[in-house]
Amino acid sequence: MTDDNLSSDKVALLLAGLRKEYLARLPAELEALEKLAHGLGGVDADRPLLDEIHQRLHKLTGTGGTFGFSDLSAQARVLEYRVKAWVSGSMQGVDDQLRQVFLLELGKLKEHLSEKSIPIVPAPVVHTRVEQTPGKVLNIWLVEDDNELGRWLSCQLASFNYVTSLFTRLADAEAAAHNGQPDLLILDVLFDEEGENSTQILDFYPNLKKMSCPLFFISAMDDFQSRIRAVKLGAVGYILKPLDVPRLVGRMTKVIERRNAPPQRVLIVDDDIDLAAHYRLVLLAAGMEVEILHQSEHIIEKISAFRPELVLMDMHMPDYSGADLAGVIRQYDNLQSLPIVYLSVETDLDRQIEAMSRGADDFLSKPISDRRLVAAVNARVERARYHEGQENRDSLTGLLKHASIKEAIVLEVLRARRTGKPVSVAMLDIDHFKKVNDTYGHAAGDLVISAVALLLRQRIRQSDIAGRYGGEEFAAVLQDCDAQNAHLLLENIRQSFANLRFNHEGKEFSCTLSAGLACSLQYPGSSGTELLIASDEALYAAKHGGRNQIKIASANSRAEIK
Amino acid sequence: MAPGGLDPAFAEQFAQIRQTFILGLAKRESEIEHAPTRADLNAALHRLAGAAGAFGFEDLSQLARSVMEASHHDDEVHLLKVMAELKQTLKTIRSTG
Repeated sequence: MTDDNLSSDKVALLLAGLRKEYLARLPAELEALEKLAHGLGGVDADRPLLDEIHQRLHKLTGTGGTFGFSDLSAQARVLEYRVKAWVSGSMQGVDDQLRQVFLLELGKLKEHLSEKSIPIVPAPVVHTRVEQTPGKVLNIWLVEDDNELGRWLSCQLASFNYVTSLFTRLADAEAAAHNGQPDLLILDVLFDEEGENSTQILDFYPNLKKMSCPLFFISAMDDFQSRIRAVKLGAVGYILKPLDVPRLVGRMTKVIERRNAPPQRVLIVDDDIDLAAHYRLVLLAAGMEVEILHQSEHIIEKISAFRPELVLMDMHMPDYSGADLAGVIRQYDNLQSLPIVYLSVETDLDRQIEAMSRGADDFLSKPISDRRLVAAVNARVERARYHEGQENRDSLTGLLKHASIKEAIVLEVLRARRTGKPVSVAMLDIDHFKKVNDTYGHAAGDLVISAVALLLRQRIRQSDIAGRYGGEEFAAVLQDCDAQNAHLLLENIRQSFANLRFNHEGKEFSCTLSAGLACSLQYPGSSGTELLIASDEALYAAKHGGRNQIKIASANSRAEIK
Repeated sequence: MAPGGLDPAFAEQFAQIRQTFILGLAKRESEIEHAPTRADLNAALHRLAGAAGAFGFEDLSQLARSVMEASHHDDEVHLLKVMAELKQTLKTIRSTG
């Protein structure tokens, strides 16, 4: 669950309000301090008074810094240390003169409150995520003077859920930019009629230049100077013509996926309700999805349901220690690589190290600043995502590898049993793939495989999972999806794939795929493995039925599964 | 990014949580004072140290940790001293917020 995303502007405004309130209270606080200091008499009886002064100065140092009054904070710290030294030494040395100087400097503190010394508080980290549900249409603007090429490309891009607005001149796109922005901008480099190179003249089209969406250049010319200019313009790609649409779309999708990565999921395990609530809010503001665990015994259920990417674990809890809970988590095969980070007051280094040997990956000391917490969690989740990808994903397609998708299917079907919702398992296979490899080579074959993978990734939802099952075989598990809807989805993919035109060294070719699917509603009580076998049999039937088609497994027609 | 416009919900939530913490200080102090076992005392101090730090009460957090250390090292004299400081700080916070 996510709360509404907050804009940096809004949060900055709120913080400015809090800062104003603090500023309003400060003069009274400083006055109180001065009054206290006047009560110093240079005798041992001063000690409790000095302690109070020290405490107040300490507070000023801390909160002043938090609210951006760095000068005030720095000065308060200087005075704080001085008082600390007096307290720990003998009061004899604190003579009249020293006390007078102290009073003077204390009085000067209020000078740091004047308008001109108020620095700009950096905006807190607030993430805005572009909501993208897979299957949602994305808008591309293509500025290409070759109208036929433009229309051909638009047609191809449509298969990948990209809706293209076509412009033949930069000026037209510039004008349109007054009224909106695309999700992605593709510019041709050479415009023959005007005799212009877009990488050279983009400065004259400010609306296009300042667009925040990703920018791609396409060109028949592999010109180094143009490439350099493209880089300077912040373009994420420079693609050569003749265009290889699957390759282009692959690049485009990678860029967009990176921008729209799903929020990081964090589970907080801490028995202090106030603290857990505060940390949760801090992480929520940073765009993460956060849940808190109150009952430690249910930690495994919670992890199975919420699937956190990181667990923030307090070490000292009344019933079960953080270290013991971490130990239980590590008993599960599929939770070996779940990042567990202790967040604890524990300052003893040896005890920290000992705790880490019990299954945690890292140790953060409380108290921890909000910014530091966000940075630490973010870094660890990103690293875990990278490693998970490296380990479990096929490098060509970005989909799960064979073993991982099989495991995922088993787990997802189990989950569906718990929720009582239907789940469908699908197997897809490219038709006559061997022929593609033999005729056009393995590079072309790779592109065809990438195209299927792309279509899959684009069509399925966040809750669905897809993998590369074999060389030209794919498998997917679709949550909360009955046979009808699964069939619709696969049909859509089948048709889009059949419409693609691949280009290899000037030769154009196309491909088709066959697929089989099995739904838990027709196979109640079946495991993920059994559904996978059933969908494979349906795929076989599709191949034998003439290929380029989808077949739904039905319990009646299948042989008995042992 | 959405255009600017005051969204009180967010700051209000933070403020509410902080207020809840301050109001709960009396209970925390009682937990510390009347802890039946050392384990309970440590747990209460640990919670206080952690939470206090998050809400900006650095000295309170530090004091709670000092009490934990003194208790761990069985230093009666120091324990009494820091415990007194802790109580004093709690009192100050509760009265000034």
